[in-house]
Amino acid sequence: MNKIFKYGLLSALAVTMVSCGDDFLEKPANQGSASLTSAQLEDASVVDPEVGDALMGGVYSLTFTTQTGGTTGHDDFGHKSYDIFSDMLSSDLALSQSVYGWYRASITELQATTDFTFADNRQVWRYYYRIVRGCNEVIDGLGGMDVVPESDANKYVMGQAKALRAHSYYYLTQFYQKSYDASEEILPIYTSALDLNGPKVAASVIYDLMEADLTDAISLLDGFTRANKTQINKTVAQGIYAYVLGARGTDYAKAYTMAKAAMTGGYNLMSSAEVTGGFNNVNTSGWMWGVDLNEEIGLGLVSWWGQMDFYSYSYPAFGDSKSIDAGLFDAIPANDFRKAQFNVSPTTATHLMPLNKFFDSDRTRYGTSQIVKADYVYMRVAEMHLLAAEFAAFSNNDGQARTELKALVSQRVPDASYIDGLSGQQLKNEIYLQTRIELWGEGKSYLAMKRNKATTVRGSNHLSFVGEPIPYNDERMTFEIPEGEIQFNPFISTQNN
Amino acid sequence: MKAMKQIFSSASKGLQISPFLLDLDNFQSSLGLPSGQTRGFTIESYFSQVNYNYDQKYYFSASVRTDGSSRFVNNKWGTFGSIGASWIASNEDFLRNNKVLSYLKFKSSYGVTGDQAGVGFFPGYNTFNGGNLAGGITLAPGAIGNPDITWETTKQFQFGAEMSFGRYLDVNLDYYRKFTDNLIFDRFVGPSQGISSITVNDGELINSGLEFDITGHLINKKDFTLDLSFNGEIVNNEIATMPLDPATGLPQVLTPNGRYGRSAGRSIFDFYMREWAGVDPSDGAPMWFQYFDDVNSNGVLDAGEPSSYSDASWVPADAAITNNTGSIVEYQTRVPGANIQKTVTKAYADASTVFANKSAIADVRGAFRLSGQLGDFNFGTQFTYSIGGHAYDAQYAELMQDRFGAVGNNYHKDIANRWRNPGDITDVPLLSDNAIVNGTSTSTRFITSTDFLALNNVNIGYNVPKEYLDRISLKTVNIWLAADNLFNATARQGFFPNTSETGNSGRALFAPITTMTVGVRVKF
Repeated sequence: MNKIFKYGLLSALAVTMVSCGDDFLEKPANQGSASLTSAQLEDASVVDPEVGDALMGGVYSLTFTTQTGGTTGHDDFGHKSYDIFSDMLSSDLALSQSVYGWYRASITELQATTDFTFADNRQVWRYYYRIVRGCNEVIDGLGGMDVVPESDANKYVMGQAKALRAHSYYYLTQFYQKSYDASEEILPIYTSALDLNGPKVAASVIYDLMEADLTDAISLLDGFTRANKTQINKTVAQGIYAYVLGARGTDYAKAYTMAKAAMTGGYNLMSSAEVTGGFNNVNTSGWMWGVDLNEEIGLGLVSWWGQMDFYSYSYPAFGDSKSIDAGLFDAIPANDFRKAQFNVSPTTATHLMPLNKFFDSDRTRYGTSQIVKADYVYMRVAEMHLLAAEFAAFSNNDGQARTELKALVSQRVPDASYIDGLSGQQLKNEIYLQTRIELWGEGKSYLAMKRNKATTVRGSNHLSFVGEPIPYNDERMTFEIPEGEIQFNPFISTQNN
Repeated sequence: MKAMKQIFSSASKGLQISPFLLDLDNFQSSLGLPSGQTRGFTIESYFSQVNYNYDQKYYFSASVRTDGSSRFVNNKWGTFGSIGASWIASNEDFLRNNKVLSYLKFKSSYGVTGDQAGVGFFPGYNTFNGGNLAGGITLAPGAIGNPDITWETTKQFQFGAEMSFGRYLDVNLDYYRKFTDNLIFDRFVGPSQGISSITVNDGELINSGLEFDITGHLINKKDFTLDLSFNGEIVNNEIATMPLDPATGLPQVLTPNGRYGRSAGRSIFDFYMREWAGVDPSDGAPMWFQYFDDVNSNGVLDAGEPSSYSDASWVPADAAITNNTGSIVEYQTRVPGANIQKTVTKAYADASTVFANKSAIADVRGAFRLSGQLGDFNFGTQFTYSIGGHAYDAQYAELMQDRFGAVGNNYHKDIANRWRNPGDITDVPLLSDNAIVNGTSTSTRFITSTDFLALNNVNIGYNVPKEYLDRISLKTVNIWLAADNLFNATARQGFFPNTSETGNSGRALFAPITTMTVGVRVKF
């Protein structure tokens, strides 16, 4: 209520001022619904942290808003759009039947990733850079990235903006660079909304910015109690930092520490019952970061649920079958609780679809309503256990790695003691496999594939490239810098390696 | 003073009770959020005008006006004006009662006008979209405004003559030249900036044209008249100065804008896209041209020769030379004397985006009318025509698209001409279940001539002679037939370049409706 009151006051002041001045030409901009100007808001955010909060909330809202990738496509609905892209690139998510054509040629046939004229290249680029700009506007409004705001409230907003900016740059580095090469110039860098188009800078410069932003964020967010799970708190910032360090691969000890620190937010691993409970509630204790979708947000068919869930008003319900790669499914032990997440019905279109992993709580095919009420997950604490295990193994600390891995796997299979017999590459392979299984369909597999420098072979239930090994650094595994960037940014005329 | 306000409210619901009721309460499931908004603009204008004429021979007029628009933030007001003069030479003694030249008038004017259209309602402001996240308000960044955007101004010079020769021929000629600066347009930026374009005033554009309207009174007798009139315009459009790129501080060499490319010395309607090279008879694959700088003059594209590779577009061999737009256009200005050759490629991304040397602007377009009267019958016709322009037939392209087989798709009948067997010579690529999707991507394949001849209107009337009417005590009886859009001869059946400004086709553009009306008018 407090926020609404303050905003009501702000608008009222603007209107009163105009009617006093009786300035006919000022009226439309002040009376129109879409009339809040940046000048008003920036001035206000200095004295009123609620405005900074609302602006930051606006950037978060873009992460689940349709058309933020600059298209009207039904695969354009914010961050989760790219979870699907990346899951398909990794081959763990198979398009097994295609009626409407979404994802088919561009993503699953790997056409976009070798042809910079495909819209999907621009969509990924446009979305993450849109978020970067949104964060930069918030940071500018608080005085710029080098300023430490005085009030706690503004510190928290600054911390969130920096963490989310790093998160977006992280995804850009993953989607546009084959693997970390410090000196390769990969992306233009923007640290203020006033920055104009610039040249590509070395990967190390981007990673240095992400590290600096996350270091600042972790410090700024100390003491922050978030109002909802869409906001980034200290542990989420630590989680993002763990991913960034894992991708950079130059300091696994620090990466391990970050993953461990991120676990400390009072989260519990999702139980064996919860992993077949629908993944539709942001209040699940194992979720670190997500979005409570509801009628007020009003997403419909054009959403992650609309593309993934058989039990929503969705494409899968009408025949666009998205299922687990058959090879990966076969690798799940029969007594693993997660095996039950997937439907086994070999002669039907729903074979290997995640009917028992992701579902709207009403569990009615085509959905009970066109409006999405199931929630989005951005980050889970299970990721931190798997990352910690992976980073420990990469640091040749197998004992620690086994402990971390067992903490998770022991909750998924009746007996996880087999892990005690694993070491070296076998252990790393098992951690990677567990990551793919545990986080299937959550947009993490592609990231893990790159960290583990893995090669995947598509199973029999894909529509293309069945049986073909595709390594992580294949040309087809990263997006192209979009044609529009090369045309309109005077400083960029080449693709990355 | 003028104000415009639009108020929108919308709600969408499904799950109906009765199929016969349209009220919202008849539907029991919300399909989306209800929404509502208000938007509008105001404009405040002051103007004055002076007219003077001397002896029905010399006419002068002058006007000045100042306008303020709510669309602009920092610079709301613009002042514009015009002066004009005309001379009716046929009223001078030396031409009075001249049998041949029965009327002669010269006119000329110069004026400065302002334009504010096409910028939306709040182009000066950054706008924010409100939202609700977990019970708190959110403000998501929306459009990026430019507070400095202001009036686009055009300086226009006009000269014309009106003349009549006896009772048989009327000729009107007008020439104009418009110079527009502070052009309002969307400047595209590399989307990494987090935005895709910003509306600015910059650049200079010249429009000039000649308009003619000739009417011949071919037959002019009491019971038989026949008039033929013919009008048209010849238009030229040229970018005089390109806008500055703020990132470099220099005028842009080239800006692609959809299917057109903007470059100094060219029209804003010059097509700029990949050049279609037909279909490979051996495998049915679509092909395009890839231009390259044949540095070693061996006639083939060798590795390392600058070209439109998707991974490094037109990068000059000399590292000291930059090609900011990565385009062949800029390459040729930076590397004078480049030996530009072309070869075919099956990789759409490697094909070169080039000026197609075709324009949406017709060489000449206009209308002609034939009308007359014969006894108690009268008739009129109007034809329109256009010669020498081109448009992009996007609707045809969509109907030729390979959308994963035939499910849910309609094809143009030309799909029957597609490549099927090695050796087939055709211009329509194979259908491949979308394994090759670029066949219908933007290219010169779908640039189509906009030449057309249309019969817009025909009307025929008959007045029942008075001698018959008197017997039945009626004053007049007029029987008529009017027909609209009887035929439209264009380059492709179903392609109507006269239904949009650029001539381009697309969804939701409807063919002119052919109507015929028969009527009787009776006066008692």
